[in-house]
Amino acid sequence: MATGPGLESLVDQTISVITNDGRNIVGILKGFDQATNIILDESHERVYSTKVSIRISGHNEFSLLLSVLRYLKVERCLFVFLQEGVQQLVLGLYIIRGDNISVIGELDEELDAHLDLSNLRAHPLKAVIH
Amino acid sequence: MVLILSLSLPPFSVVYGLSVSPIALVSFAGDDEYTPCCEFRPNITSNYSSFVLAVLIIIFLQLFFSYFKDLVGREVTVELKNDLAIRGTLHSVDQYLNIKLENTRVVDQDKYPHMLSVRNCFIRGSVVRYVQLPPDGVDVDLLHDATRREARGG
Repeated sequence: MATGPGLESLVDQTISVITNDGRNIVGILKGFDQATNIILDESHERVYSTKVSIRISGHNEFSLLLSVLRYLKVERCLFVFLQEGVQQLVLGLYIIRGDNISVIGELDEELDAHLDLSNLRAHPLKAVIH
Repeated sequence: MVLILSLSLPPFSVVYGLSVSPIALVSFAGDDEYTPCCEFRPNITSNYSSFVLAVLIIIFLQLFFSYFKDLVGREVTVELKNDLAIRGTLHSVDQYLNIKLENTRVVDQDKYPHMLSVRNCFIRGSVVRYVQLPPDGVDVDLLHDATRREARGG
């Protein structure tokens, strides 16, 4: 008998889906079917990058602040920006087609809370090549 | 023995020139556990050798399904087609060879921190490249016999 994928235990849990094009989408599993199509609520995509760019700001953006600092006799000032580690893009209610899914992982909330996303750097996942 | 099969993989049907329909049908008597559930309708232009090849491949799917069912509880490493390698305890497998692993950890965690907070996962069968088994988990002779039996009788 054809039984669907055993995802019943994951319904209403937070899951992390890795798609065939290497995206990582986190959300709450609401439903699934035999072809592993899934419905994900409150989903957001986590975009990983390896950039540790340090951007030194030009004077334009901070002219007001610079003038204040000059008034306070601060002669030289450098504005440094660090690129955010992991971006989280809010998506909402999503249906993901089963063909496009690689891995469905049960996200452990405790472990996830301990993750420091702003300091995480990683190469993006590769796409699936058949 | 009548095998009623359907392959819902488009590349397969294109290569072998078979028209397929993904309808689950009958299970043959006395074989409740792992019946293939598919329907196979060769069109007029399909030739005999591709039919035989298709049947053989379907038979092997059943063989590996039963083989993996025996391996439940063993520690395996699954390498996926996107080069991600996941190690874990085999929890279950289904007819599509989708794999459920428990107690998972990614092999190269520094390179792939994407699954740091995931401990149990479901891996779709279509993305598996390799399943690395414990060396004492493979009874080569048994597999040989089973293969020979399947290829002969079916």
